Amino acid sequence: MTQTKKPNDIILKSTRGLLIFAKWMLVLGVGALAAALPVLLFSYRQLLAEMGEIFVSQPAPETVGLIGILMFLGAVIMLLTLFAINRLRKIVDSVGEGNPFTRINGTRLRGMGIAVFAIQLVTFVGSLLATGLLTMLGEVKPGQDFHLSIDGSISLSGILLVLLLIILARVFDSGAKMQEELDGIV
Amino acid sequence: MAISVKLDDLLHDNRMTLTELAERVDITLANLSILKTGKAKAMRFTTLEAICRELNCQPGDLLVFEDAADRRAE
Repeated sequence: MTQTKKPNDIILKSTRGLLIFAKWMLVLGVGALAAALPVLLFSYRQLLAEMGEIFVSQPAPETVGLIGILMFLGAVIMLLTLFAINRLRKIVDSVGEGNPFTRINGTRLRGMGIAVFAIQLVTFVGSLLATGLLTMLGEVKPGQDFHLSIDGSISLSGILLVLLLIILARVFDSGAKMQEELDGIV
Repeated sequence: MAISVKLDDLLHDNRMTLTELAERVDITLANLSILKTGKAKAMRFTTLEAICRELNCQPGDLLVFEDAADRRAE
């Protein structure tokens, strides 16, 4: 078997470092959201009172529920990103070992493609809910600094990324087949 | 597989060890073992050429076709 990359490759090392950093940031983010959700549940009266000082009309209690759902969707997006990052890290490790063309890497890429597609869907649903939340909250009182812009469109680059990952998964499947054939040649 | 590799016989005839052949043909001992035990799926012409050169033989001496039906009849 040929060694395609040196294990100490600077690009591989920095990618691995960046992925580990992103992983722990996401774990921290999911932890923070998981901790914030019960806090939101127990202090919703105080939150409503504070929102009442910012918006013209007093926000309905349902708005807190909507904020909770949005936070939950945020945690789901982070978990899906964590799932994709873990798979990418394993692929990077296999490149470092000099054996990236394996069937498991094809499966990992397919999993990443599905995760990115799910992120796109959850983001779209979240943006619709956030638009609904802003409509429910209504006008901001004069002198209050509150601005929130929401992009509810489907990302073209996200869809392209999904397609790219699915196609790459097939490339890796073919590569794995060729590698298996090569392994038996003396 | 119907193709069998007669490397053992050729090594014996030439009074050569597998390790010695591996050094002479510049192929790893692991790969030569795969070839000797009949686990190889394919063989490069360069490998065949190197083995034939070192063992003074023809490709037909190294590779033999043995039909499964004939073997059963025997």
